[in-house]
Amino acid sequence: MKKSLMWLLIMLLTLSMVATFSLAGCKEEEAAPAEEEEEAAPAEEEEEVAPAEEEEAVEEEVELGPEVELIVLNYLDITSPEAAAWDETVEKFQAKYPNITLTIENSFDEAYHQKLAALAAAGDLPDVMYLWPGGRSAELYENELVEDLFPFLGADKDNYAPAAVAPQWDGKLMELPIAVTATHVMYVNTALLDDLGLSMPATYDELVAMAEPITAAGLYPIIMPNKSAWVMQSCFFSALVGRIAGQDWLDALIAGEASFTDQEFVDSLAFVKELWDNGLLPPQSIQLEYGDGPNLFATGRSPFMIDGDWRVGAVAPLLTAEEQADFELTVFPDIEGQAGPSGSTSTVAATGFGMKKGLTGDKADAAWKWISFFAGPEAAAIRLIEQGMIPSYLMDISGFDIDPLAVKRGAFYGEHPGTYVLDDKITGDPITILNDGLQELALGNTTPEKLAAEMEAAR
Amino acid sequence: MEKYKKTLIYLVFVLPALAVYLLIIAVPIISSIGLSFTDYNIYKNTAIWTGFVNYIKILTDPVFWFSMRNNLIVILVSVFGQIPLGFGLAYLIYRKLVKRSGFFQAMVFLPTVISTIIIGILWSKMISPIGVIPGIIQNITNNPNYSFTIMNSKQLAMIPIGFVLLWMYTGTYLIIFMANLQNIDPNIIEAAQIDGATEGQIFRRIIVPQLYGVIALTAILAISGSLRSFDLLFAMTGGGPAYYTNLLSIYMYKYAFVNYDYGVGSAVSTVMVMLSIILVIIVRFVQRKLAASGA
Repeated sequence: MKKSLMWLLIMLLTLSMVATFSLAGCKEEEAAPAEEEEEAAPAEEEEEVAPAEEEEAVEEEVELGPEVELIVLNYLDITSPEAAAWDETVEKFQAKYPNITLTIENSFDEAYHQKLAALAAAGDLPDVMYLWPGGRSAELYENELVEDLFPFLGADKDNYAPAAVAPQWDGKLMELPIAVTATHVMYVNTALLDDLGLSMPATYDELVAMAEPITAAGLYPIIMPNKSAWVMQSCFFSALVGRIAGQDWLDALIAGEASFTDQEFVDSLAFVKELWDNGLLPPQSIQLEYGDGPNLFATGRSPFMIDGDWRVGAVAPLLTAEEQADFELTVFPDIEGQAGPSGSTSTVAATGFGMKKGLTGDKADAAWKWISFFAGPEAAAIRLIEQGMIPSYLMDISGFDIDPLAVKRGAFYGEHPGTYVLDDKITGDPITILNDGLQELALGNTTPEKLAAEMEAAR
Repeated sequence: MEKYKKTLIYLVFVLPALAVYLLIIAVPIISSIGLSFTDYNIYKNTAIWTGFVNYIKILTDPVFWFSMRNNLIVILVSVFGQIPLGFGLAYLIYRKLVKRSGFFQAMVFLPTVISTIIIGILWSKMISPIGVIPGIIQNITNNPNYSFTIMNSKQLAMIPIGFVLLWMYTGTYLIIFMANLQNIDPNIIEAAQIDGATEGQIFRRIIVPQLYGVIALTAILAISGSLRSFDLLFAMTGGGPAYYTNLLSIYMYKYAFVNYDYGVGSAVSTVMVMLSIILVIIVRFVQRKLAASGA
């Protein structure tokens, strides 16, 4: 009796498993047409809306090719405000090229990098993918998995800011940047400075003299959230090396003709230590999350914030247009004896889409249409309005209704020359040691000389 | 025929689990050990034999040893903090030495049901310079710049982490010990009380010897869990400032998934597996000694 019960149980379990898998299979089959309908829906809606709202776009004759499906791996936090601009961009593209079906997968932060690495390892890269000019995308370039975009760009190159379409890897353009990014900006709240009886510092010494009265008022002299180790290196130290050591030394370093132990680099590290020692950067900023900065700055917890130019998009929504008049974008004051250009920042071509190596024919044409559309004037206009992002595509932005802070961001690039961002040019162990070492310097657990020697040993 | 049927049933039950174990646990461990002796390139799927180069690299790296030190701290907090605390609280509740034992049990167990990532973010926000706890202290001391400087200390940064680990995992051990305490025959305790045994004697002479096996099991769970712990620290500190709260798992993650150096990452994971096996062998040895002396 017991045996027959046991067999009955096993059979029931087996049957239930078979039934579950079969039903799951049916459900997937049933779901597929529904998904196709959902994907088709926006295009249909767009077709209805297009004649009424965008006659110009319809009038513009676009040569449609054959039906192509494009697999897109996109870098996007779908819960962020940027998601609206992305959706609008995709809708506009689909309206313009109804023959190209975009199959999009969104991913963000570490998950994106892991996914891209896994897809590359499996030999299953998407047709187009979101890439960086260097840094963590460099592995893909080094292993020749991404197509050079220069042959596709051709004469259209002249329509982009020269810094955006400069060679990125081995003389090639691996992704078409949507902007040129200044990774170092010193944001200033001039109204708060007035309240404290202070004025815009013209020199480094003037800035140092402000640390005491600002701290005494219970404020941070400079807000720079340093919990994430990359922030100091990317948003300040890179510009600092460009100032103290100069562009020629940076070029020599990349060419292997200069060393991290050179006095210029050691002096740059020593300068960072000095900022912690003289109180301009308070010790608690080592514990501040990167996301805390804009809110603290916009709510008057400090007259200064050091961050990248992208933070305009986070600060502006926290301020009214009138309040934004009291906020300025500048750079850290000049340093006595600096070899680099006065008032310089650190710049890098921004991110953009790149194409899988080996795409040919209609697929390659469709991929390039998406890549150039995303960096081109139509998508750039959406990002300019929604995010205040100044495009790499050369276009007149005076007619756009954008935040005053975004207008100041546009002016910033013309006023401040750029030097390299270190983690764009140096990868692997030296940059990991530098990022951690800059935090150790702040906490007094290493010396500039020791850190420079460790970096050199890891090269 | 009967024997054949028995074998068949045995295989039906065992083979699926064995296949899953081999595919998900054994094969990755073995291939990881293999990769640790190569310079594996994930993009080209090529691997050149490099011998012990990856092991020499990590064993001569001070950050590796600091991460190892932090892992040992987590193990100590787990074995000598969470387990005794969980055992003690379970005993208090089991022997009804506190009132409203159900409430205490629920409170101690509550953190266990919250996602580790959420706990990491929660505590990170609470102890941040603009968090709730420093905020209260800032108001009390009238010092708007107060913050927990202990998190900036190379030697002491693990202390707040240890506190969170105690808060988070003690409930798990409480439940394990509660379940096993309820299996002890109450007549034995009653008999001991009639014979005049004190509460301390009941605990030492009756309760603890009967739970040697459970204590060893929880110790093994704590050690293996501590060695592979990653999520809480990664969400709370990311291993920072610098590498002061790095664990071996975070150290491995940075090599394998940030620098894409899978050879070194695999070498670290192999060391972690070896360490885990050694510590489990030690625990089993101690357990056998204790059980033998108890008998």
